[in-house]
Amino acid sequence: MLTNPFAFPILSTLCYLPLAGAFFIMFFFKRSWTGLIKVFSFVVSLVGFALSLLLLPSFQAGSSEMQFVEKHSWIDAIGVSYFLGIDGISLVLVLLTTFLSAISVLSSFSAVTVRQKEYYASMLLLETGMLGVFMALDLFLFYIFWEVMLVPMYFLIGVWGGERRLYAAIKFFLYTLFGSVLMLLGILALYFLSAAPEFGIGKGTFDFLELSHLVLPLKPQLWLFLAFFFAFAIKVPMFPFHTWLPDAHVEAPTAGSVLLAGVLLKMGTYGFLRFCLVLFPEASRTLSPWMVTLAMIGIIYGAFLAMAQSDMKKLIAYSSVSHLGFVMLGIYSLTPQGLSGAVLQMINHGLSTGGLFLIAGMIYERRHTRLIAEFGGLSHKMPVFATFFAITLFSSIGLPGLNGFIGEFLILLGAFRAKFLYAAFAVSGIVLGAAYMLWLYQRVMFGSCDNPKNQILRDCTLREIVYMVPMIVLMFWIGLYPKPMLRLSEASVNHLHKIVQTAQPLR
Amino acid sequence: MSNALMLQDLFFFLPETCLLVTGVILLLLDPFLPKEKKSFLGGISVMGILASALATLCLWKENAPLFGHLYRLDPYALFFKLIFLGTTLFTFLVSFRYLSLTRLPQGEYFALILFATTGMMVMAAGMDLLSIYLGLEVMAISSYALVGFLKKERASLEGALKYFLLGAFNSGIILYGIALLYGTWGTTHLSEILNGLSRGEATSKMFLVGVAMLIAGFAFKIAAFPFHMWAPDVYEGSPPPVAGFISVGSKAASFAALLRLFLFAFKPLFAEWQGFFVFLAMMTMTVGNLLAISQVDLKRMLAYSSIAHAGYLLIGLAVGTPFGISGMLFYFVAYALMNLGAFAMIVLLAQENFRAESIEDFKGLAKAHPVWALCFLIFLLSLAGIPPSAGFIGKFYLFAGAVQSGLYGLALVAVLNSVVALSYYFRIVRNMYMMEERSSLAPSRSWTLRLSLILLAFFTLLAGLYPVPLLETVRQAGALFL
Repeated sequence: MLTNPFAFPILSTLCYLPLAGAFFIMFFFKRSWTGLIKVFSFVVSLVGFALSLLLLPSFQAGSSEMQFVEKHSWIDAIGVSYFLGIDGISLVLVLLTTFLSAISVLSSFSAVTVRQKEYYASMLLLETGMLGVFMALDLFLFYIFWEVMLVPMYFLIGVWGGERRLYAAIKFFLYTLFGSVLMLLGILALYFLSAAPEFGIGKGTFDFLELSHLVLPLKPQLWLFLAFFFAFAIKVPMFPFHTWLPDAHVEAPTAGSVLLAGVLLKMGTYGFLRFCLVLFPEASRTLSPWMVTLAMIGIIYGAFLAMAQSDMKKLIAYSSVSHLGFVMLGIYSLTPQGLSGAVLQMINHGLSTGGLFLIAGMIYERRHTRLIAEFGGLSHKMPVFATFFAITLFSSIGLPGLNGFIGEFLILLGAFRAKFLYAAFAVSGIVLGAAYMLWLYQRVMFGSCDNPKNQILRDCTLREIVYMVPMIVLMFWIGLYPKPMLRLSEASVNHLHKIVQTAQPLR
Repeated sequence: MSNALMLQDLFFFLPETCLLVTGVILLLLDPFLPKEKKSFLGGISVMGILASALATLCLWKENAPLFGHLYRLDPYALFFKLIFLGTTLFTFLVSFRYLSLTRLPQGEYFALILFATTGMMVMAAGMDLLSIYLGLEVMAISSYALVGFLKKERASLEGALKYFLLGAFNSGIILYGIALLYGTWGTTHLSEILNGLSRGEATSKMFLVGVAMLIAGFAFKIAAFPFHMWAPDVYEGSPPPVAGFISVGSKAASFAALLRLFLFAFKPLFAEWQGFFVFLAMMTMTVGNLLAISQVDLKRMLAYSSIAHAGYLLIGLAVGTPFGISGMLFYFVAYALMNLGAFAMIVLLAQENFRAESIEDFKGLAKAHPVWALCFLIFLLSLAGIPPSAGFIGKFYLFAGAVQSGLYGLALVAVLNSVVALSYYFRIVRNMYMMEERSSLAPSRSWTLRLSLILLAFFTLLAGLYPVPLLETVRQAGALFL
């Protein structure tokens, strides 16, 4: 555990800065000051991104310890503390969150025209919730952030969403809540097990670092794994818990989809990495064939579903199911390559799928439809847009030279080392992925531009270019020189791998 | 008994006395006040409550028997007294505007609520079956009248009559139970029953029938399955502030007595009735939540939700551990805050010819009046148990109690119920935030009402973010059972 080298609590500042911004907007800005509200929330999210970059120079990448730690007593009577800290895995996700939040805010300037004050406040509130999830090291605190984050997302979908937004919003909330409450039971059971003297701690605690010393017999591990599994698997979403995702994605406003795909889904995979592997290593090993099976079904089934879609956003949503299947495959291959590939692929998916949703949003803003059949031949009318779309798409497919390739390659390597069959199945997922993505591009961008409504489409505006360029740059950067990104999480991933492979259950 | 002791008893009885005296003053003053000065009565009743609260705070940490052991002043009773006083205070602050709107007789209204509160206090402090019964009747009879206060409305009269008939029948059952216990032990005093049970004196059939009757009687009062049917009709018929008052106060008082009976007097038989309470808790929360889903009338929905909350509270009784008891006591505070808040929202939107009693009436509230929508959102989040709110901490403790005692089935049913509950609470949120305004909404201008809504929302959040002081208080209050 490394203490915070800054003179101020940097993680708390980073986490609550958006919250403060949201309060400021709610209570001090008039509804009609839309321009000011937009600029203000963009500045707040940008400052958040800058603050998260400030973490980089003082982050010790060689250490798997929790860093920038803040710990204060909160509810002493039951061992709950206010405990924040990040390691390499959380750091990259924090960076992803602040980066995508700023981009999403910028992308909403023209897309959102009603109730802008509440919109930007919700966006900032959501950022606080997401950052808290990645920083919390106390399970009680983690659970609070995990749940709090549902509320602004519910509003983003329900107020600013598409036609079936009401249905999608409550479906999203109920599905995720169902998983969360089971995790709550798991957290409680863990607390009482930690209080029992025979399991190595002997004092009830919610402190993740202390709980990681818990040595449990296999059977309770399996039950607890199951309790956490529901929460995380629904969030990822793993097959067969993915049915909320297409609805939420299609109905959410563009920025909501970007954050949903880019960050919220990562909370599920992060949960598996951070909690399931460390707290229940034996159970993770025992269940890994099952987890991999679900992941592979997700990869292939998601790809087939994506292929059959006529709605652009729905296609991207199902492609997420497939891609997140890859991440889960990497995690439960339980090899160092698979794990670090999974961490990298979490970032990659955030960039590429986030990017694809931004692209879909641009088209929707112009045409107010997302039906693939409505388009065709756009590449002549919108060359800049076509370039952005192509690069993002190739990043999503995993073309060498772009970020997706590195992540998928590492995951396949890990899967191959775990079992040949895993890799064989996963590769077919990549082929299918290329198929539906390229087909999408072909149908939308190539051919002749027959539809008169498409004749008058304008190319990207300056603002759109401003938020797409950083995404593209990152895609190339990770694709061509992934080392710095991999190095950030390397030590943590190796540490994780060591825990999973060496921990012995209580006999 | 010496005079000095009598004086001390009277001093210790001061919180109740303040309320009784205020109530009597109100009744005496009412006929002589001219119509335009009736609002004066509200001021007097608030003063009475504050005086009683002051007396209660002064007696904090006292622990002594009163009136020849019929009654007890302990942190447990004092804690409940504060809950009742808080409930009554907020009920009054919310009522002022409603009373002038509906032109209800103010003197009797305030006096009846004060008498009901006195009854609740007696129930929480009673150490003898008879003093508990006395408190229960005082509370019940005042409540019957309060429910039927809207004399010109059929629903109100129907509710009152139903409540009265069932309540009277119920009182009979409780009294009969008490008689059977007296027949077994020759005493109605809780400590003596406890002594008898701990000496291992054989429990006769008569005793068990008596206990069963007490359970049935109190299950009716807390609106637990299968004695919950009255609640929706009664809440629907009564004026909204009264519905809030009954749903919080009457429930808390009955639970206070129930806890004293089962976790103190009948504690030696804990293992035997535990399974029964587990069953009761599961059924109550499930039935309440499932029936609430299809409600369109907000008061009926809140009635079913309050049944569900009784189910959550019963977890505390079913586990009887420090976690369960603390959780239960904490939950009473949380429940009082959020439920009073929800009922106050109805009063806020009520107009002369418009009752905001359907969940449809809240459509578009967020757009027109964001502050009040936000308050309601906080109450609803807390009712649903979403952090950071008082309701979450309370549920967290209760569920923790169930997990600790190894009652995983109960814990599972309880958490799944919270998911079901969210679906209907969020129908209101949906209406407020995602629907277009249907009719013109005009929130009341009464500052007392507005202030109480803000305070209730603030405390709901505060108790969720920093529950430590309250948790320490409930630990002291619950120490009696450990």
